Amino acid sequence: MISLSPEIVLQRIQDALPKARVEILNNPSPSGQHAILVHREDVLEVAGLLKNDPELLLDYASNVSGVDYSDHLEAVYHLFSIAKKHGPITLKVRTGDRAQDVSVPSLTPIWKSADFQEREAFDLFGIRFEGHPDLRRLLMWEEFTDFPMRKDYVAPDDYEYEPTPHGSIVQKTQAHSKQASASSSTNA
Amino acid sequence: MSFPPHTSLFNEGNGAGAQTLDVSLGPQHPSTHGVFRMNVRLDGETIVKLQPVFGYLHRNHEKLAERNSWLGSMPYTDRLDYLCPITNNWAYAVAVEKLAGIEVPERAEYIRVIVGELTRLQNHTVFLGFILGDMGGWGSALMYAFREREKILDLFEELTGARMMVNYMRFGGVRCDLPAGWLEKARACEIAGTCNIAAGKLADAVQRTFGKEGFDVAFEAVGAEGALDDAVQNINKGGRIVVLGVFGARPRVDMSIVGDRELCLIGTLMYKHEDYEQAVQWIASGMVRTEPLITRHFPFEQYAEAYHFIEKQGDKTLKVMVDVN
Repeated sequence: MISLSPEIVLQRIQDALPKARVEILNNPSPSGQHAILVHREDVLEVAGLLKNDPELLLDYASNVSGVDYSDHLEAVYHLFSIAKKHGPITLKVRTGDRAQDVSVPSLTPIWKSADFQEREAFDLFGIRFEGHPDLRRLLMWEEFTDFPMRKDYVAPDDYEYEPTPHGSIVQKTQAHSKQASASSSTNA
Repeated sequence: MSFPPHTSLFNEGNGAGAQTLDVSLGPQHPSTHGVFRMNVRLDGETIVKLQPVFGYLHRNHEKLAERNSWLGSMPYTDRLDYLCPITNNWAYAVAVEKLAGIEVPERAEYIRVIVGELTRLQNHTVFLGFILGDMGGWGSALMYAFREREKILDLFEELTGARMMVNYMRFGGVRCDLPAGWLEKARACEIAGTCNIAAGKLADAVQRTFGKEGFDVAFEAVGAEGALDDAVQNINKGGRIVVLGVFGARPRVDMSIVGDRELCLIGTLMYKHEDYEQAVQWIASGMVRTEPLITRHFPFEQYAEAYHFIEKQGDKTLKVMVDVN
């Protein structure tokens, strides 16, 4: 696999689509895997270019994931070129305000492999991929209403018996045993 | 025959009076490898549309990882794919190493590659067993695949203490070094018996590998007197020796043994006229494809270059054709 620098890709995008709002998003961690951040209104056009440009030919989206930054959500795509044997290129798209404006365009029409993974990001993070052919929950059941991977998600208190409780589990266990004894006494 | 209209499993209906039938296959079905459902549209016995439905056994490891320590998630990665625990360990370890800028010592990298390759091998072996089972081969293929896989799992057990849930990788390397003698076992893993005749006698190796049974067929593939003679000396009575090697010097073979023990020497290099006709027929009918065997074509005018090409490429060349128009 030949590595492909995001700067080269950015240059290609800017040459072909001068109006597209695109920038390099530096990754400050030692991995230094810098990403390309595209404005959501331009991302369909940019993605089409990435896939079809004869220099880039990023024909394969290996992975789509979601990230919750507490004020906005982000969809992350990892792109490779099987034809050119280069990659990965990290493509990021951000939503607006997380509370009200959680839409980004679906890239499934461009990379078919994004289908299930966009559904997963929708299911777990609540990112709405507009234009997705079948945007239903993937892993959680249909009646589920929340998005469990969001940072402010609170798991339900579905108590499970713990034979040797410790730490915060002790308190939880005691609270539940009190409830249990209260309800059993009312039943009697 | 027409089916009555019914509620479709898919987003769109299959149309009134349609000849197709929608069936929900699974999630609890032995053919689905876990809890997995497929909505299928059937036209007779042919599936014309299929929609996978999963999430019946969703463990959400990323959610579990939120409350674990970094290292605490390592054993979970064993369980992502029960045929590929070590490679999943590896992917997670590399991700954390990249984030934290941790360097892995060279020895650990080598160990990772070795155990990763062994994981890949046992995974593919079992895959073949399963896929043959799925295709109607019942359990036989699977049992053979499992038998072969055992050899690698034994190695994992010795190395990590576990056969499947190995929990072997660590950020910056692996949990423990290879035990003494492990590499030799890994090297011999798939091969029942080998013999380096430069270092030992073929007769001893035969005794070690086949015991009293000996062997009935030998292939002489190097074109050396010693190899052919070894085969003649050691093969069972009535055995067959297939001669594939191209001999430079004339080999001396003890023909009295060949005669006494009724051995059969079978040549292979040339062909009879009928074989030639058969071969032409096979190639013409497309049954045998010869193009992959040809490394390169040269026009007749460049025949000298063709020879240079063979000289230069050495063992990378298979067949070089000089085309005569």
